[in-house]
Order: sequence, then C-alpha cells, then structure tokens
Amino acid sequence: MRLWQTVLRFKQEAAGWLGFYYFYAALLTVVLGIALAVAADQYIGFSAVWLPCLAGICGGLLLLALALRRAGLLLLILLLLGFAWGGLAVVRMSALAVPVGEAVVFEGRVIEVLSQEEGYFDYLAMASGSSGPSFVMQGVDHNGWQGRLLVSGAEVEVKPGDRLQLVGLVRSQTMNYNFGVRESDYLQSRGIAAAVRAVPSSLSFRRLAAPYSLTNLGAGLRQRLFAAMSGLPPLQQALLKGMGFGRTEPLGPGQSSVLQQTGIMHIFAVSGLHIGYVVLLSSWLVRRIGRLRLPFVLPGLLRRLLEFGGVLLPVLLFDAAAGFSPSVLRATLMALAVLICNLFGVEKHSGYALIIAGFLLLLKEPLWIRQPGFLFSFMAAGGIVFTAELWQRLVRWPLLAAACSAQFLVLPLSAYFFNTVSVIGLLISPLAVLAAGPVVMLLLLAVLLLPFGLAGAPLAGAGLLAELIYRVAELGARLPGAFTYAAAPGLAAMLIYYGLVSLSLYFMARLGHDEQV
Amino acid sequence: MADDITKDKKAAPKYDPRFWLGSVIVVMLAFGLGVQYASYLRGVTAELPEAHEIAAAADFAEVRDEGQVVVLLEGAVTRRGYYVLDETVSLRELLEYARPTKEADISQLDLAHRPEHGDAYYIQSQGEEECAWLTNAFVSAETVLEEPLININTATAQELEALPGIGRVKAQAIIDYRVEHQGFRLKEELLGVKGIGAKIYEALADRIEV
Repeated sequence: MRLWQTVLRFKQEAAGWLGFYYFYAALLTVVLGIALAVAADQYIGFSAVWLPCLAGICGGLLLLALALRRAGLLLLILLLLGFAWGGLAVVRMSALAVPVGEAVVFEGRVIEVLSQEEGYFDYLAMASGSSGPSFVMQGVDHNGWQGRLLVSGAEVEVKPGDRLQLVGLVRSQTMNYNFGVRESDYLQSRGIAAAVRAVPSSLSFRRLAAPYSLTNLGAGLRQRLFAAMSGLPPLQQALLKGMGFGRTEPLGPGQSSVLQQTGIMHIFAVSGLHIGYVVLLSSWLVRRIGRLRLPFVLPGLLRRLLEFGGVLLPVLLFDAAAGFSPSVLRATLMALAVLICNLFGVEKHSGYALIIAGFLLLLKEPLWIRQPGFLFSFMAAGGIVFTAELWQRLVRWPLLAAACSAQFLVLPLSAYFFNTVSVIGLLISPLAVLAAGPVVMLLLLAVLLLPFGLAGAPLAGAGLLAELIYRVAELGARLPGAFTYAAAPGLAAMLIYYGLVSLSLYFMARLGHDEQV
Repeated sequence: MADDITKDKKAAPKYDPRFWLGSVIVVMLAFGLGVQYASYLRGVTAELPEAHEIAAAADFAEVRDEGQVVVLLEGAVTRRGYYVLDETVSLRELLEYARPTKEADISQLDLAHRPEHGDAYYIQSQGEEECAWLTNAFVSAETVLEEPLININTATAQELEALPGIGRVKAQAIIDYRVEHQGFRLKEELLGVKGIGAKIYEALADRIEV
C-alpha cells in the first residue's frame, strides 16, 4: 500500500484524505475477488471444501493485520472474501442434487419471462423439444436446495412475480451439459442450475399468488405502449421496442447484424441515456410542481425528500417497464447515487458511483460478471467516466471523445461475444446517440400521453427518427472496411489489452496532473 | 515533558482510519458470507420436509390423464421425487426404476402393491426411526395432511371422538380396553373393543397408530 501511495503520489497530493481512495480500492478488490472465483471455476473448478479453508485464512490474516496494524493486509482479506463470495455462488448453483431425467418439486417466484437481451429461452425450449413459454424461477426444491431453474414448455402464461409450484423433469443441467454453443454460459451467468420441463402441465402448476407489483405495473405499461405502436410499420415498431425498452427479439437477424456491424447495438440496451432522460424529465416536472403556490410552507428537508421521491419514482417505473437487466440497474444505481448526493449536498463523482453500483450488483448476483450485458454496460460506462476526458485531448468533439472512450474499452468484448470489430462505429455511434436522445424523449412523452389516447403523434415522430438512424447505419455498414470479423480473443490477450490500456491511462493521467501542478 | 508524550500519543492513533473502514467492509462481507453459506448447507444437508410444507401433497389434482396416477417417493432411494405412473405399475417396478440405496429396508414392503393416486411412500433405511409423515404402509398423503395420526395408546377421549365412527361411548370403551389390557400392541386389537366392528376399523385404520 505504501508503495502504491508513493507511485500514485499525485493522487495523495490531490486528495485530502487517503481513506477516501482506500474505500473504493476495497470495493474494487472485492469485485476482483469475485471475478477470480468465476475464472477459477471456469478453468479448474471451484470446490465447496475451499470455503472453510478460505474462512480460516481470512481469520488468520485478520489477526495478523490487527497485530501489525497494516491496513494493506485488509485488502488481501477482502480479495479472499470476494473470492469466497463468487465461489459460493458457483457452488450453490451446482449443488442441485436432482440428476438429469429425475423429477423435481420446485416452489418459488418467476423472476424472468424471456430474455431482455436475446431470445434464447424460446430457442432452448425448441431445442429441448418443448412447446409453450419459458421462464426462470427462483425458489426451493423438495430437497431444500435453493436456486434458479429454467422452465420450458410450461403451457401456462406467467408474469414476473408470480409464485408457482411445479413438478418437472430435469432435462439438462447447465453445469455439466453444454447446449452446443454458448447457451450454457448464458444460463450459468444468470445463476440457472438446470432446465426443467414440467410434467404433466395440468397437474404440475399451481399459481400460488400473483401480487400486484411494480414489475406487473411496468409490464402492463409496456404492453399498452406496444399496443399503441401497432399502427406503425413493423421495422419502426421493432426499432422503438428496442430503443425504448431494450427488447431486441422483434428485430430480424439481418437488422441485428447491421446494428452489431456499425457498433450501435448499445442504444438498444436501456442504459444511462434512457435513465438520464427520465431523470431530466421527472426533475423538470418536479421543479414545475415545486413552483406552484401552496397554502403551507414545507420544511427544507421534507421538500428535498419529496423532490427526491418525485424523481426516483418515474425512474423505478421505467425500470420495471424495461425489465431489471444489469445495464438498467447499473444506470439506476448511478442515478440514485447522484440524487442522494443532491439530497445531502455532497459533491458528485460518477466514477465512484460506477464502482459502488458494480460492487452492489455483483454482491447480489456474482455470476453476472460473466454476462455480456453486464460487462458491456460497465466497460462502456467506465470508459466514458474515466477516459473521456483524456480522449478529449486527442479529439476535440466531446461526443466523439465519449464514443472513442467507450468503443476502445468494449473492443475485446465485442470481438469475444459478437466476433465483430466495428470501425465505422466510431463515426456512426456518436450520431446515433445524438439522434437516440429525441427518440427516447418522444417515447417518454408517449408514455405520459398514453392515458389520454394521444400517444400516436409522439410515437410516429419517434418511429421516423428511429428508422432514419437505422437507414444511416445500414448505409454505413455497406461502406468498404466498415467492420471486420474477428476470432474470439483468449483470456490472456484480453488481460494484456486491458493491462496496456490501464497503463497508458495511468501515464496520461500522471502527465496531465504534472502539467496542472 | 510528560505532557508532550501524552500529546504525541493522542496525535498518533493506534489504527489509522483506513483500518476501521476496511474492517467494517470485512465484517459486513464475512457476515453476509456466513448467512449464505448456512443457507447453502441447509440445501445440501436438507432434512425431509414436513408434510404441511409440501403443498403439492395436498394438491394432488383431481384432473389427471386417464389411467395415470401420481405418487411421491422419498427416503432411501436414488431417484426421489414425484412420479407419474400408469395404474398398472407395481411398487416393485417403481422401486426398480427409483433404485433403492444399499441402506434401504424393503423387507416389509408388499412389492406387488399397485400405487394409487396420491400415495406417498417413504422408504426407510435400516435402523432408521419411522418417518413422521410418510410410511411404508402406503398412507395417503392427503390423509396425513388433513390430520396427524392418532396414537390410540395416548389419545384422550376427545381425540378419539374425532375418528370416523367413534362417538363418546366407543371412545370411553377404547380407553377402558386400553387400561384393562395395559395398552394396544397392534392396531387390530381395536377389533376386540366392544362396539367396534370390521367396518368401523377399516374406516379409521389409516388414521391411527400404536
């Protein structure tokens, strides 16, 4: 730690209290531990026996840290605890004792119906010879095992939040069965232990409760808006569903390819752009309401709390409508951090908000560290937050600098998951982001006008603008050298890439600091 | 001079703030990890659920495919869980599929028995205490769920009156018989009680134990 302080002395000079940095370093260390555990499981397999051993080592290190009074040792303990946290998530998932072909009695809550990012679930259902909807349940089996199962061919319509009980046959286990492509990874990254087919459907299912929840409210809102879009051309409908709510299933295979080749798929994932506009719109509304003359005077803190709630509620409602995907939660947590800072008059820093959001999400769902949506969202946001300023020294236009900073950090991920590296994306992405703003604003306006039956006009405008973005992207993808297909890089190549990026960023930051001093 | 030393001690705290900050995160993580690990262990070494915890046992639906029955198999078998069987399948065939473990005690089982819809079987291990809610005696899960088995050696007159076909007089007769003969060794001894014939015994045989 002392060496680190010496190397980073410019930081020491800039900050009043080093503990501030220590706190975020501690959170990042836990995240690193989780990542190491998931990587260890991938390559050598994580065993439950390691957990008590890790607890013993942590206890010993804690005593040593107390005796030596070395705060640096605590970081090592946090690394090991993060390792144990990630490992426990893997072990819990693989502890399902019911083998393939056996019956399982499972009771729990529906947490996901279809994928928010890809239409894999229905594909998996087809692959396993089932018909009917597929969904993910979280609950307890008859042996007391707690976890998640993918149910396919259910022949019942379910909504997120429904409590169900099912009797089914385990079709495949994600830990020891590969679906042939990357679906096994896809399921594992969601903590899903096995795919189950309900038998017989009429007997197996019992809807225990269908609570009136925020999720249902959001889903209802989304359905009503989708119904209002029915008059638009199919392409515009698909684009609006994607840009507004992150639903990429309506897009055809050719259309998805165009978006990947031009590197603008990210505007089809609900993210900071959307949440930012919701916050902007709701803040404006709250301010307008706040200016009204009331017959009584509200105390300062109560007024600020009401404003806080007034901005947060539409954000939560939008989250529910879009589905609580990692990118949505990341953007919401960051917005929440900013709102809390405003509430208490604390200085805002988006970088720290990003670290806290990443830490909290991985604490809740450690296996998300393998999920493309999570990785893309955090890498892109991290690029913009930490490196956009540096990029602006090379590229004067702020939006292009932001696009470059995000694209360079997600480049290996794009090659790994989509086997595509987009060159034209650097040019098209800023334009698309610029144009996506009004589309999102028009969609939000349509949501507001929906109860009055006036959503048609803003939806028509949004549809035209969305199609314009798509047509420009289509044109860009046809240009020679617009994109190139690449082989998925290995872990070592990705580590070297990110290591070099981190080093160059460090030296650029240090150079900038020295110039300022 | 002594004052200076005191001041120096105050100026240099025993642990710097980073230590406390780190310790708080360590303690919180360790606590969360402990809770999750305990939950994981509960799942791995799960005890048999109580009958009232298995809602499905109470909900064996009337609607089922023609000629099929649904039964629950628990205990010392490799393949535990609910089974959808043809009505013609015998317990022997079911156990052949479910593969009893080496410890399973199947010596008392009627292997030719054909499981009926709603049956719940608990295959005991050798030397294992009898399961509280599922027995090898083919007790219907529905029956078990409705009311617990009544021990005719310890039941009060009021508890006995809850049994089908047993009124105040017959309940008192059972208690008198119990006192006179120093308890029941077999359920069938109930047939020796005045006023209890074969029909009444058949109606309550599944609801009692000794």
